[in-house]
Amino acid sequence: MTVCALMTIAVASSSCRGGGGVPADIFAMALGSDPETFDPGVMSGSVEGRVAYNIYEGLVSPPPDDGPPRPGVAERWEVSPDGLTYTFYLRSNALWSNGDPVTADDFVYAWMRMLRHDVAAEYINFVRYLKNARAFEEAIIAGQEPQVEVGVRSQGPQILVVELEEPVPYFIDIVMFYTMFPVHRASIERHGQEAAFAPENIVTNGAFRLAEYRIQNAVKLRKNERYWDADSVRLRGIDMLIIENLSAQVAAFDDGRIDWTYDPPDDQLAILATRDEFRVAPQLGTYYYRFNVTRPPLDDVRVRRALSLAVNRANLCRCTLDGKMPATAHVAPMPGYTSPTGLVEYDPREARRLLAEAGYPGGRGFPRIEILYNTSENHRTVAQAIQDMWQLELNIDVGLNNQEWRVYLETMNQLDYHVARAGWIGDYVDPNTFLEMWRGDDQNNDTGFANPEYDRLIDAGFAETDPAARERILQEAETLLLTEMPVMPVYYYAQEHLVRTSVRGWEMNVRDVHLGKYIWKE
Amino acid sequence: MTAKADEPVKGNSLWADAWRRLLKNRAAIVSFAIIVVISLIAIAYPLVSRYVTHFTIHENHNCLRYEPPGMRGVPREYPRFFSERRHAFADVDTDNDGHVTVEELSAMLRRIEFAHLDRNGNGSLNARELKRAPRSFLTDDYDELVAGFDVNNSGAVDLDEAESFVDIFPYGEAGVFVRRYDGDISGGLSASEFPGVPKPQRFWMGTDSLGRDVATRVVYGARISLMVGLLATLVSLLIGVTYGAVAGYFGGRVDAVMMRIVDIIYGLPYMFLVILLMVIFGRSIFLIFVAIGAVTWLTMARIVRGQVLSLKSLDFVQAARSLGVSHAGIVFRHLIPNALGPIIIYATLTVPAVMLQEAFLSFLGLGVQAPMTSWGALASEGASPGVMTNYPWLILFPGGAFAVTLFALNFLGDGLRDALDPRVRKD
Amino acid sequence: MTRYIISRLLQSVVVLLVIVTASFFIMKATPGSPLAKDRQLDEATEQQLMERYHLDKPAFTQYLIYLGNLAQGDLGESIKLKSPVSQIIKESAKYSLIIGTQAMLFALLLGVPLGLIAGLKQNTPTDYAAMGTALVGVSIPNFVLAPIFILIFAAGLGWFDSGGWDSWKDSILPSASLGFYYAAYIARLTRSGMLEVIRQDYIRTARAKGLSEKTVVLRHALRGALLPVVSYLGPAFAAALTGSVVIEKVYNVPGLGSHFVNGAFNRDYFLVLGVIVIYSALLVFLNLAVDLMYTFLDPRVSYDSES
Repeated sequence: MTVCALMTIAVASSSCRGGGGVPADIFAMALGSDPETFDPGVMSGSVEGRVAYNIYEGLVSPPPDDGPPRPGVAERWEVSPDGLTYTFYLRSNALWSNGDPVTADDFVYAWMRMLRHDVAAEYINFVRYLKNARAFEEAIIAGQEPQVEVGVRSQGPQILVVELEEPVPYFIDIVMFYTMFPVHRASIERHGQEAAFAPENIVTNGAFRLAEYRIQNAVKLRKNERYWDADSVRLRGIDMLIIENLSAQVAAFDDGRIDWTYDPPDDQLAILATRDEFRVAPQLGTYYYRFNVTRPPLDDVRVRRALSLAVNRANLCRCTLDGKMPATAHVAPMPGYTSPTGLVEYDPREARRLLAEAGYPGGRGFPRIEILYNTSENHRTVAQAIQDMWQLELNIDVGLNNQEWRVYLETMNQLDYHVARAGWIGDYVDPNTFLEMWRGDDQNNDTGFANPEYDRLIDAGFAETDPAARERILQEAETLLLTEMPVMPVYYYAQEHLVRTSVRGWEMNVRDVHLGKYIWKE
Repeated sequence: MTAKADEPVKGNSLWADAWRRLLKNRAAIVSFAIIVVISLIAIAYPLVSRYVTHFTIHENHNCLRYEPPGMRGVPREYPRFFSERRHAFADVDTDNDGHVTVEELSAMLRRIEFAHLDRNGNGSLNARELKRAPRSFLTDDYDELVAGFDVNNSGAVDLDEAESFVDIFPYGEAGVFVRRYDGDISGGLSASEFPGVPKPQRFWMGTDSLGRDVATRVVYGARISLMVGLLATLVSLLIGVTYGAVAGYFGGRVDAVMMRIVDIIYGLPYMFLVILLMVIFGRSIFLIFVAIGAVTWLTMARIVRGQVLSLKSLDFVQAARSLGVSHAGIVFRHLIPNALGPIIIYATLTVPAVMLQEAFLSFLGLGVQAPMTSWGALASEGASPGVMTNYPWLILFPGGAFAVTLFALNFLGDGLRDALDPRVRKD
Repeated sequence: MTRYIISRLLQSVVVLLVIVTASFFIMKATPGSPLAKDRQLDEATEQQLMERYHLDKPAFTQYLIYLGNLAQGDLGESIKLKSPVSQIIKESAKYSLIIGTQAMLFALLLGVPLGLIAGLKQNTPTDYAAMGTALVGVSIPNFVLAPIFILIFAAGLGWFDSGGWDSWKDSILPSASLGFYYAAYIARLTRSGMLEVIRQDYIRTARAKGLSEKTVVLRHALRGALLPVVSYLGPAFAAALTGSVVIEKVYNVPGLGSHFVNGAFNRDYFLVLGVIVIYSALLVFLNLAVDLMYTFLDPRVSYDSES
């Protein structure tokens, strides 16, 4: 006992304590914060997603691995040759947790309530892909009776026909997303838009149901016996313990209270990486720095390029950030798309040349710039390393400015910064999720970058139905983005997990979505 | 000064007595000495950084993160050089092209480090010598480690084999050095640019998450922590004692109103106030101690008030009043000196409390701005179960310096209390 | 006495009103919006949410609306967690109360005897040992102490879990870590109070009357010696209840303190205001209790006489 205790203190090994606390038929995991809501139409975060994917099921279901999408409520689907019409054939045995059948009308209702502004949907742009959606919404905002027919309708209880405004090559990926999940109309009509999703009233259609929710403590899911595929679900339930502190998540894992934690703290990665339970894979996300292109000296593209060329990403990732992949472009690596190369590199000599060309030879006369980041150990580490590189390579004065999250968002939104840290996790597996936001009119742009040619390329990407031609257009757009450089990619996010070795059926995937339906423990 | 007429000799002897008593208290004197030494080190930080620790607080050694105490690196701001001829330019420039590249300097540094580890000078490292290499190899079995590196099965690790673990002297250190002196941006150093082979220096307290020297940071942190602690306590003393004494002395309605004001300030969302101040006025140390001082005086006021409340009905106060001593005279010459014990005790407890408050602010990201730092900020960086187990030096040194200082402050406070309390003399 | 209490209670209402007003406007002046996200909200959606929480109205109107609801006992709804603030507070206050109370009990049970013994045996090895322990207590920040406790008692010995809240057992480590600092503080206050009192005339009188040492210490001296402790208890208890943010964070306790900090960072106005209202009410009440206890412990303090 004492030896064991000493050993644990010395090497932080968990070998002394197995996953004793969790029953074999319960999968326990950490949740980084309280879910803001259980309403799939309203939610917008990854924490909410981890709950939603287990208690709801969309038309199409995300696979456990990087394979093709799996049938969900829809048994099969057809796409018209012009890419504008999708027909989903729903299975007849799909039931809500109260026994009602899941029908095509539930989807129509779920999607239309967002467009009708019955709820404040944060991912409303996904429903706007539907035909006439914008016209419908404009009428709603103007307070008029909409005169248009939105492109989603049922043909009987088991056929859902969806028409799009223009082709969306990744629409099946969108349909898989929680925003597009069905909601139970009857309980909304009985309890109201919000109370219907309170733990005591909620009716869901997934492999699990919400059994208990205690704020800042735990979300407990139990198997939904009415789920159409209940026979293949091996777990009795999923316990999600809400643990905000990342070190505390690892500690809970070592206690044996959880079987899976998905975000170990960066300062422990080097040591955790030596453990059997550690798993790492690329994630669909990029960590980057925004340049405020409206503020001198960053309004000069040569300065922006010089700053980017002075960052030794390989060194940063090898030495300072354990196990992250240095960025070579802005779009994170994903199947079906290859980013242009040679635009994000380390070349200090070229950097100094460009800086001299821009009128600051040897860094002389270069005004002090500040790196803005939101308070966090990791962002500070990166900011300090990059500050150091810029000072050393370019001989310029670089300051740090850390702001608390909400203030940082406001500062960035008002373009009141020089350089700001940012990150983006893709919503769906398509380059568009990384590229669309740099359009001049996009709300998420926040750099002041506006380039008509770029906007044109993004629009052309939507219109093009041939995948190869579309890839070329998007590559052209990304090349333009990285040449103008309103953003400086730093590294690609990696997903790091600690998964108990007794867990089976848990696979790494680029979406980082893990359905309890496929998981069991030995 | 005019008050001297009341009690001409007594006032003098009281402080002389106290001074004599304080000198007799060995613990207090030792503590005082410790505080003086720490303060001097803190004040002398620029010299300490240049001549003792050799590093500055802001130089990152990116490839030397989380190194345990004893690891060596090349100081960037204050480099020293080997003066011996055997480390001259020609020795480093192994391919004789008149250019020292990063690789060549790196190889040279590796040879120096190798020789440094090779205590018996036989040109190879055995398990015992390898054990001295301050790298954290995450192993206990150094024989196995030697066997792992020992390609030619000689039973020891020679220089060529050591090349396979770059770790013995990171490439990054040479890179930073070459770039610094590379005036013509040629990617290497010519004979005229070459300042000599840099002498690696030890990180006596290890390095942190960015490869910064913990020893330097601890010395620097002392400056900020002591400053915030002392200044904020001073602010709290000035406001709290006056306020509490006045409230307690006058009592009744005055007391009620004054204490309600204290209640109101107590209940204010302190953190919002601080966040607001920090955001509106930008972050500065001055604001930190004003904010902290403005909050800590409240408890001081309550304690002084409580003391005065129970003291004012005592005979000596009644006597002073009947002698016609003014209100101010009674408060400042009779009540406060008699309440000095608790005041000093509380003040000495306020210094650590203030330092903790500052740490708490740093913990929330609202403390001193990076790359500046304080003991509180350093300790909060090291204080998580994961960091503590893996990199204990990050909590041990700043935490230890913090604790020793607080210990000393508390001992000194106790000594002062015993020395100053006028009633002790009666016994 | 009754008149005094009633007037104090009336004052308290005014105090609370001032606190709520000040907090409200300070928060409104703090930059950052509760609706801000790294992925910006759609304009129409944002407008909808603004209307829902009356954020589109002038600050003073918002203030009147909030005050009106407050008068009816409605604390509003958390913008982030989307559930009633009163419900969140009710749930989390339970944890904070348990930990806070246990921590104070722990502190009193450890601190008072330690200080008492040290005070009675001034300048003996016992005194030094007791005060040495107390010094350790006030010299180690609780954000350092808590991880040490976790390392020893959770990761090392395996007696407890490192955090979370499933049963009462999970409250032990947080209570002890939180109470340690207060125990040390109380020990020091008790000792100094004891040293003050033991030299005063009424104790000499008691001794001169021939009362046993035990009676003198426990019945006469202790009462006076605890005065500083009592005046410290009010704010300490309030601080232990809500200011235990660090402890709640380290041990992942779903208490009031973590809600306050999270709420503040999220600009969750109603949650923060709700916590402040409850916290302030508690504080005012505790201070009243402390003042009343003063009259009980020290017969020389009286609130009825006007002299």
